[in-house]
Amino acid sequence: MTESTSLASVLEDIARADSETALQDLRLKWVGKKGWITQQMKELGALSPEDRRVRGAELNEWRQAVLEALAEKEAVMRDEAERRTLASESLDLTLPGRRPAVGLLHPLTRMRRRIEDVLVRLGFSLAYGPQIESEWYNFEALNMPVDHPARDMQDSFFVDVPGLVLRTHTSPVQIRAMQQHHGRLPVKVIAPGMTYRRDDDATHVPMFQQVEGLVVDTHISLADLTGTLTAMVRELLGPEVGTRFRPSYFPFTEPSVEMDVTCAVCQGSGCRVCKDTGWVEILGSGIVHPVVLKNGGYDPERVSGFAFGMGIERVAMRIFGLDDLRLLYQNDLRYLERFQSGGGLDIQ
Amino acid sequence: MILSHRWLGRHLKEMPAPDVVVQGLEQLGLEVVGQSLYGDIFDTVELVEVVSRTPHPDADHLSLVDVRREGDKVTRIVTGANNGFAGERLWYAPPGTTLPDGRTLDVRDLRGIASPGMLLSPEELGYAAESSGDLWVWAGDEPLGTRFSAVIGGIDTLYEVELTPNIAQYLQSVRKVAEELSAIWDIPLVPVTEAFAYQRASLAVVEAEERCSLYGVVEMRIRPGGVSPLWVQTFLRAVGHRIIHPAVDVTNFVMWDLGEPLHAFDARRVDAPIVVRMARDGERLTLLDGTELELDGEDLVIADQHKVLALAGIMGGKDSGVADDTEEIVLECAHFEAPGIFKSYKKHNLVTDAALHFGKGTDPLAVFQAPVLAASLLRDGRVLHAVGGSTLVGTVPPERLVAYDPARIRALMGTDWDDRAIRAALEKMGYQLVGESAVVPRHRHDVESVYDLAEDVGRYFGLDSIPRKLPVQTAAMAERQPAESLDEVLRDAVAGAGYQEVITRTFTAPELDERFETGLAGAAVAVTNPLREEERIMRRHLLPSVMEVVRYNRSRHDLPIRIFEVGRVFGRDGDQVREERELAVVLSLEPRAGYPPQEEPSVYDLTGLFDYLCERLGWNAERRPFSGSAPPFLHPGRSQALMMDGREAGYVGELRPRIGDLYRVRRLGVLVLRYPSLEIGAVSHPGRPSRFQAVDRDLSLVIPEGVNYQGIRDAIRQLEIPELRHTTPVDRFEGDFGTSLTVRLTFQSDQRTLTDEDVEGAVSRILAVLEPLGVGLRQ
Ligand SMILES: [Zn+2]
Repeated sequence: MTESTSLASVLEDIARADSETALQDLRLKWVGKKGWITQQMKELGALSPEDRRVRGAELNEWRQAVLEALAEKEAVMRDEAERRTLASESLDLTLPGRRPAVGLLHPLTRMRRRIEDVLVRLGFSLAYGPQIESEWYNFEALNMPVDHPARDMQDSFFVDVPGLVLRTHTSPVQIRAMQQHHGRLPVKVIAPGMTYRRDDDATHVPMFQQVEGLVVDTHISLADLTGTLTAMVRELLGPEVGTRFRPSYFPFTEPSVEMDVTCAVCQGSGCRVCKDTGWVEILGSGIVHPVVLKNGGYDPERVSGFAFGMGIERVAMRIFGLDDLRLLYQNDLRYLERFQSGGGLDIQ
Repeated sequence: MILSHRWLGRHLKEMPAPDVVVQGLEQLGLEVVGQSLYGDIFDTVELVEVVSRTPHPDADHLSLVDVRREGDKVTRIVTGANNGFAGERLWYAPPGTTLPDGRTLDVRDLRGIASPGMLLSPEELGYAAESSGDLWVWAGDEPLGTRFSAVIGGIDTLYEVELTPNIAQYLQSVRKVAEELSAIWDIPLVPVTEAFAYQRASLAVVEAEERCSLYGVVEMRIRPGGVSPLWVQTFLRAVGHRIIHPAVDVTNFVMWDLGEPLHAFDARRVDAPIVVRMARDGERLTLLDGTELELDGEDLVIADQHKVLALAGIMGGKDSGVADDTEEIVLECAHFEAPGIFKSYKKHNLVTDAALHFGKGTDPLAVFQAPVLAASLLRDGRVLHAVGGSTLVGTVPPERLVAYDPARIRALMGTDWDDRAIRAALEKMGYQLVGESAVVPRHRHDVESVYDLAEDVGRYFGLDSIPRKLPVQTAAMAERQPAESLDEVLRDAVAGAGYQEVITRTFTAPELDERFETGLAGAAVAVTNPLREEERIMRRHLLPSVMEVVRYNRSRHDLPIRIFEVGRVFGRDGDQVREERELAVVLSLEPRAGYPPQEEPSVYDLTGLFDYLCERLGWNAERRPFSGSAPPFLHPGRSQALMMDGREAGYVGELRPRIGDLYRVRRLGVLVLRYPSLEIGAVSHPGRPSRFQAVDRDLSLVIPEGVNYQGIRDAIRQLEIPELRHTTPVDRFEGDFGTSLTVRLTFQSDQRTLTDEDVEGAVSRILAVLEPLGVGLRQ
């Protein structure tokens, strides 16, 4: 300190500094290389040892106090500057956010995968076959010879290649899968895929997707079928869903059974959707017909099997609560976008 | 098939409530798809007696009829009928009644006089009666006020039943259904009538024995002008038949009751004996409904000595049918072989009730029951004078046996039913068990093996009695198919990149398909019976179908298009059909107004997507200029060919704007890739990141026309500088000196920190290799 200036007034100057420049000037004036305190310290050497000790301690104390005051003031000024910058940078976050560009899988892909997932967990492998299939695989091998009355049940699309047809079901994959197993056991496959029938209304489209299932082993019974399908349907539709089996007919199973589940609209009490029965059909199934086992290369005396076929759209309609199947194939983007939310149950 | 509750009751000693019947039918495999009432509309139609009849003051053809109703109430009705005189008892439908033809009656003003409801004729009720005037004069002695529903036996419940093809083979008959219900309910059946004793008159000859194992004819003399008994009419009406002629009504009744279609010929029109033979090619027959048929050697016909009388088992001829004045009928009771009838009715497209019975299979034993029932019905209607001569040609087909193996039945059904229970069930269902064989009931054409026996035992006990369990098997890993898994990864990758998946129909029109021709696809597979013009072929590419999605959406709303499909495309080489996998991505390249601003989509989004997919799926693929010129639907300056394993496999780029215009989007980016059915080849081998500092060096290059980024990148890569880790363009602009491209080179070593000399050395080598391309540093 010049002898006339007190430490207190220096510290006050620092506290009053209103700009970085002013603060820098004060730093240079007092603690810079040529600052007064620095100079004084350089001159200590000229003093007697006793005076040097006293004066040195004093100068050190002053220097320490000034540096602290400068640091403190700098921090305050930095905070202030930052506050101003941040304030100038504020955004209106009530504006819509920029959503990630995420595409959705088609609801039927999601539904197919969900069904596959349940069945793969039950130990089924995936199998496939062509969409343009030979009449032999599509009909004859499945116990539907030419002129069989059951061919009426499935109105087929034919193509201009002799002996071929757009497959009317995924059941031909039963034969293909058995043939590929070459007599090995067990055969336990599901076959998802596109199928075709000449139908077009709110509940039928000419191109639709099925999942076929086939189990062949020694000692496979109708009880295994009902148990497996019940487990699958509960997994898909929830444990509380009611299930029942009714005798039915498919040329490639004997006995054949259809599976019903409680109507989702009325929970089984009866309504227009379920024609007051409380039940809606979910799939067809049965014990594999001996002719089909033979055509797949298996001995019906030694092994047995069960098979089922389920429309993916039908499951989708139930889970998504749809009443018109055609919308699923119209690919209206506004409609498909609506499957964005509710991504819990249907996405695996 | 419509089943009548009351009709079933004719065969069962007790009849449970309708909901029990529905359960029983469904247990047997007859799906009940609808339930309705018959006769409920007759609940208001009441018996009245005419008090007086006076002419209408203002209309010659109308009369005022006062009728006494229940409780002596008198109502005046205006009628145009020519009968209904004092003392006659008539059926009266008050206002509010709905008639079988759908009319609902009201109070009508007829020439100034109010007329509530109507007095009815038999036809208005849907019936036939022996009545000499317009109105139905009732001869019965029921009290006034009796409802018409009461005289026809009460309101009936009808079950609309869906017949599966196997059930149609043996359960198209009230009796047969009743027999099975009787088995599962344990309710006794009303016994069948005794068998008809055919005589040995030579009335018929069977030439085509293999198509007709039994042929019976019975002559019956009848009274013209008669009608069928009211109860017969009621049952027929209930299941949807019109009342035609007692002889015809009887054949319809027997068909549904016993499952045996009969045919009644007018004896005057038949030059006996009848011959059952194959038609001669070109022979003609005019059917009952007037259509003329040309027959061939596959058709079985009923003929006489001069002409064809009927297409056997399907429909009778016009000239030999019964008429109002018929006094003698020749009733045919036959057993035809089902496959022949099936083929014939299919070929001629004649789906008659008789064809649907004979074509699926009938019970040969019904040939013996049918004449007895027919005669008794005609007798009941006071139509039958006498049964005349009769003949039966042929033999009853032998019974068939199938192996009876209760252990196999248990194993197939997964139950613990013991032998006795299984035996009892099969016997109840009509089988006779002899040792290790089961004698199949003659009408069960569907039964072939122990599997069918298992089914019948299941139907007998009901499927609810089958336990539900999971199969006990040797555990094995479930497997996915690699090629299909790749499809799924591809779908996830493209969807994850922001594109919506669509699933389109695989049918398309050749015109649309050809628009996106690239030469990659084979010839088209045509659908020979399409539902629509625009679905005549199986698509050869995905893009046309996906572009239809663009069109559909753009004609409805103005959303940006970011869609893709992973699906199959079809082609053929001669008779060899190929199904291949394709990916198609479509992106609309339009700036979108919006805040906060979104990046404008560009064709670089698609080229980048392709590069990403190749990396993700391990494809050996790249983008290259087209070897010839770009396909005509692509923008020549903004498109590339996609190569997989060295072969052209698709394209990426912008559509020509004039093509986009067709789909209501000016600028569209597309990516189409036909990819092989391969496993995913990509395995990550990440290695350890280098501990040493990476060095970036930016080179601002001036590039002459004709040189593109790929040329520069390839030249640099040729040097194979191990420390050069990345080459990335960071800026590009055009100046008066030409095009400037700034490329950032990233150098890094795994062994040491690179020195300035290392980097400078590499940069000079790079500049040296670029020099021959005319590429140099910007000054
Ligand atoms: Zn319901």
